[in-house]
Amino acid sequence: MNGRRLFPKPDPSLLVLSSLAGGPKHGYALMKDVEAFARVTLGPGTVFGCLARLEERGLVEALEPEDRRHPYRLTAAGATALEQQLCELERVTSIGSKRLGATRDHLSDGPAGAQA
Amino acid sequence: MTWPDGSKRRAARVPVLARCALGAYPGWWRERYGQDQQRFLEELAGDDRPLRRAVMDLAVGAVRARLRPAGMPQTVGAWRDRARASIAWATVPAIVGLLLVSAIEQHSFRSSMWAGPHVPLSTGGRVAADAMMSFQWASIAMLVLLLAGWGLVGSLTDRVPEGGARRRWLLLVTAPLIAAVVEIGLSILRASLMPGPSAAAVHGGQPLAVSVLSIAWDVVAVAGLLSVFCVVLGARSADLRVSDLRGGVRLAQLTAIVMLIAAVASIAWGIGVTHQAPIPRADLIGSGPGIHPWTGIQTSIAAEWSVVSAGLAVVSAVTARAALVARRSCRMAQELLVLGA
Repeated sequence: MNGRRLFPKPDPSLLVLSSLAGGPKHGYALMKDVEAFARVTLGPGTVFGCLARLEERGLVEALEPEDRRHPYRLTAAGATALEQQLCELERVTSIGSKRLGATRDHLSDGPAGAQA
Repeated sequence: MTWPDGSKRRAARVPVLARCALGAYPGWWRERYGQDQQRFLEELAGDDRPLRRAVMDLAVGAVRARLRPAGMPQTVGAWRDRARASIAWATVPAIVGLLLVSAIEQHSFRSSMWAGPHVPLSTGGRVAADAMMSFQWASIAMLVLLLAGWGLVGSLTDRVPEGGARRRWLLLVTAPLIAAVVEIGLSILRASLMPGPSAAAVHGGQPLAVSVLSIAWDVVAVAGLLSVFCVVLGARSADLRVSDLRGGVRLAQLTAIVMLIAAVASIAWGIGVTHQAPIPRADLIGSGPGIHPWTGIQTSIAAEWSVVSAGLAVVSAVTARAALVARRSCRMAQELLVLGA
């Protein structure tokens, strides 16, 4: 292994939307949640850059500030956008998994099985 | 200190570097997300997590917020702040650089040259010579900016609405020309009030050509600098479409790339020049028999100023980009000019 990731990290916007789908969160709670479910650590610049872009597009909205910070929640448009994105990913995932299963069966048979 | 999740932790201090990174964000951003980010950092520090990556992430985020202002409030104040920041970013480094070069050239290089043509040039004199010669490279970079900026805005005269905004816009477009005239006048005045040794003695018997070139460099430099103002303010004053400015932005970006390549190539080529033996002044000014020292010193000069020019070209590209973003709301730009009047 050369140490470089074969696949890039998941899109931060998708991670942020997925996190907010579980309920409103402020920046730090959001970062910890993403870290727990995706094993990706988002920095403050990335988190708030994402929130700003998503807020501009009406996909998330800020709630009343609590203790000098705003919790954010998913809007209806954000939920739709997330659902569409997840459906696309799910399609790729299910096809990939199905094909991978078939390939594994084929490989476990070995070269002799393949020839037969 | 009790945190929202009920736990008690010490109030963490945010390091200076992190506060600087927060301060690098635009004003409208700090107003909207500053407190949230500050709390984020406090909690990060409170959990004893390393802040180095967070600071880097903030710095990148600050650059991104300036280049792509997602979520910027559509108010006149925000646009005005953005215009000020763009102009400052575009001009302050260039002005400082020009003043520095000018000061070194006046006090070091000329006095060193006047000592006599056959005395080896001291280290200070060589540095000053570098600065003096680098002015040529600055002039080339400025000329490109002049063509990209002034030409672009000047070609769109018919799109500018009538009234006060048009008058203001015309003043901006003619500013480089006015500056050029003033600069020529000052150069002539300086030459007549403070005569040095004969130009023929200093420049190897080519006084007229050297004088003309010297003035031309000054003119192009000043005019080019002001053309950056014109790109920003002229574009804001005129009723331009984004597509009108796209060519200018691409040209500026291309300039930036070319300058960066030139900088790298020049550094690689001229890296050993500074370790050479003192160069006879006659060679430096081109009248001696040595070709290699002359080529070498020109190369090291190119390396120095190419870096500066590359920075300038990048700033130009960013500024033009800012002007493009600003075009989202032409009505707002008009309002801005009325308020500024």
